[in-house]
Amino acid sequence: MASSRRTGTNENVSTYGAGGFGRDYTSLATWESATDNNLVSLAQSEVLECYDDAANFDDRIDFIGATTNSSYFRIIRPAGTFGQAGWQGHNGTPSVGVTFTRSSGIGFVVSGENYVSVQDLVFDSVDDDTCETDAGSYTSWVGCILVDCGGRGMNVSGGTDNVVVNCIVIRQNEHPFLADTDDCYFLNCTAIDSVIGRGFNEFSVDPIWINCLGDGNSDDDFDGGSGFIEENNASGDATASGTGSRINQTFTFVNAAGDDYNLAATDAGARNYGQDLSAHGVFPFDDDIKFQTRPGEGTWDIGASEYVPDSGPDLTDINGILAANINDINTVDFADISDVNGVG
Amino acid sequence: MKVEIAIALFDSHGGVEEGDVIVCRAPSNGIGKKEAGMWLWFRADISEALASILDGPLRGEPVGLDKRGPLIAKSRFNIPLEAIKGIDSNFDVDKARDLKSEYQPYLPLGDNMLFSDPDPDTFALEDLKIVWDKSTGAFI
Repeated sequence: MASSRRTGTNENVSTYGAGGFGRDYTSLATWESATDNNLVSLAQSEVLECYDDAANFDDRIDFIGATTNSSYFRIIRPAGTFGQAGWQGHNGTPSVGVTFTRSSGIGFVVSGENYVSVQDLVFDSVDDDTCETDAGSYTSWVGCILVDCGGRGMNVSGGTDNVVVNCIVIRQNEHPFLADTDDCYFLNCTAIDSVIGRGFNEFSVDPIWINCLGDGNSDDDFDGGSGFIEENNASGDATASGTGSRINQTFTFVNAAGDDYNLAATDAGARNYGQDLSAHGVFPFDDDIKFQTRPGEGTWDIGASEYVPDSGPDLTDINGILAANINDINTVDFADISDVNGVG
Repeated sequence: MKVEIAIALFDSHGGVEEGDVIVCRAPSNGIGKKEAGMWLWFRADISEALASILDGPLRGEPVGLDKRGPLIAKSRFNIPLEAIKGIDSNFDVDKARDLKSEYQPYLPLGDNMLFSDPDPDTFALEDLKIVWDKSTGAFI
């Protein structure tokens, strides 16, 4: 089992939040500059755990300069554990959780560093390009939700083997997921209602799109180019292509009007049509945007959200309810028969 | 416009130099527990154009080479501590360089790392000519 949320070896955890809450940092840039060390020689990873102290944080970061490897690298993530008291991240929708905004300018950028991992943050109304790996390899953007942001959404424009996984982009001004370099991976992502541009787009390069869902995007849900890898994607229009992909689908989400793009139990467009990426060659993982283990029903779903049926003690309850209902029905039936007989 | 600026008081592996402008943000009410010693915080009154540049992406530029490869400048702009001393004779450069001193003469800290003076005097950086632009090799 491999979570898409990578952890570093020997993590040195600092905290981030608003002034007056006793956090270590109130600026992403100060943490970044304080930790741009040779993490390999220090044998240490640097983690910034964010607290939801404010409705949003008008802040940004450029990752650049730290010497890293696959064991020792830098991570930004919410504090706490999903599903438990104290979790500071989102719940699969942008309505709660640590949220970054920008009144002007761009958002998070990896400008020159390998293995950076940004996990489970919300980006709301960032003025310009929102999240980008510009120069750096093996970076991962995981479980993030972008809503109503300007510029490009999740953009990989440099490096190699960079991945965007389990992310949802809603109403991005242009290009929710954009590949501007070869050998970047967009896995189990969801693009909804872009204002301009395709949900999944590429600028004459060869990205890899697998298990991605596009619906309602301005131009097309998927770019119609060739030469790159597309597998098990699904689109509301006719643009998803490649092995196992599905076109002209109708998707059913939990509450699209409320920006909840988790798959509903009744979905027939993306549920159980994905491929198993638990042994993926570059980025194996087996969870979804809400940390749920994939698959939920025997086969992976397409998109950031995995539908997982309720299970466990409900079976006992169901039996109890059924038994009660049967008794009630029997009682009613007998009464009705008596009444009918009486009336007759 | 009023902004809150933090300059580094250290040199780093990743290209930070003492005096580098690391933060330029809207005025806040305080800082974090680890932000007092390694950065000097103050308020400044600057043009929107300068604020936009100071708050913009770093896109680190190579400024030289060492045995690992290109050395990257973390910040394009730098305010030398000696330049601050030049406009404020009370500024203690040695104390600022002592990272354990948490010396914050311009945004003094109160309880829970909140600024004890919510409306301090500001530097007029563009008039003072103390911001060094590495890309032009001159003060702005």
